[in-house]
Amino acid sequence: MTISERVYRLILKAYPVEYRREFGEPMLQLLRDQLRECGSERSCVVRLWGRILADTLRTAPAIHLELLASSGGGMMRPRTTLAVLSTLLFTWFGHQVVARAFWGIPNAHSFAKVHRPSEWPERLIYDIAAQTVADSLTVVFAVALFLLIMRKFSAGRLSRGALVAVPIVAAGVTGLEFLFARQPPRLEIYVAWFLPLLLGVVSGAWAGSAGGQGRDEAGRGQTLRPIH
Amino acid sequence: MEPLTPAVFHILLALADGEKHGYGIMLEVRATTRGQLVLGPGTLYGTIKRLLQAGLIVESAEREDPGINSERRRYYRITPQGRVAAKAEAERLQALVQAACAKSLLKRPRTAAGGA
Repeated sequence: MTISERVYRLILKAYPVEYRREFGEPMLQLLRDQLRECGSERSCVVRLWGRILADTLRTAPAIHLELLASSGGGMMRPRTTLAVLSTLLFTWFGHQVVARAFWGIPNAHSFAKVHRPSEWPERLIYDIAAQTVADSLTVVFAVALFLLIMRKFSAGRLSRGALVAVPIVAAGVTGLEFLFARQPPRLEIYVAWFLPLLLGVVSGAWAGSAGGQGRDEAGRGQTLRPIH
Repeated sequence: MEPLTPAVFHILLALADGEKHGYGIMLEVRATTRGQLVLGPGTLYGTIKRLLQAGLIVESAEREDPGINSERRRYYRITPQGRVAAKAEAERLQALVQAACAKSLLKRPRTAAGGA
């Protein structure tokens, strides 16, 4: 077994066990075929590995999600999976906006990370009642949003909408915080804001691959499209 | 019938004229798209898995491809249902091309009789 095959065997561990059991060997075979095609041309091998890594990053999470979403052997409809993902994404994001920008106190830990403890010390007090209200509202929000997505909208469209909405709102709220806190936002805030963006990208990619059985490597995005 | 994704359509198209193994499908897709679409292992087998589940393709007997080497390979074959789905997608794309021609975005394909 060559080093490339050993490395790819390790990479294959990114895929779920059931999937690997079924398609691991053919995937390894495909790598061997492509390596054989490249021969000793180093640039071809580098390009091949680049494609393989990008392909793995894109497809492994999607296949994990797909298997997670499946129940009793039948796959959950992509729209339902997307609705769940979008709901999680928007709920978390909404909770962050409410907690950070308007109430300040529901999430004292993240709030304290953003603002220096010396400023607005009264708002760093952990308020149990406010936390309970916030959590209850979040649950209600999540359920309502899920129902709304399932009934009214295309979950894929919402996921893509998140890609646009999250950075815009994040930039706005960050600007407001800078204005009122009078200090440059710290690294944590960017992590906090861009995590939902990352989730949006993943769920957007999922919209392309799950609803539509895979995105092409030429990078053309696809929308949620059932198989037929 | 809703549109198929390029990956699904290209795999069905590759299998339309006979059964192929994964590498054969990848080569055919790459040739058909003039290298614009190169299916990675995850995309290829992820799509194959869904096509198998949807009943659009089936697995044939495992065997060697003497044209490549002596490794045994899994072959896949399009089902009548898969052929219907691929045909519907091809017709949809044809209608789009005709619409593009009507709006002068594309030149009309020449017919055998030499007409425009």
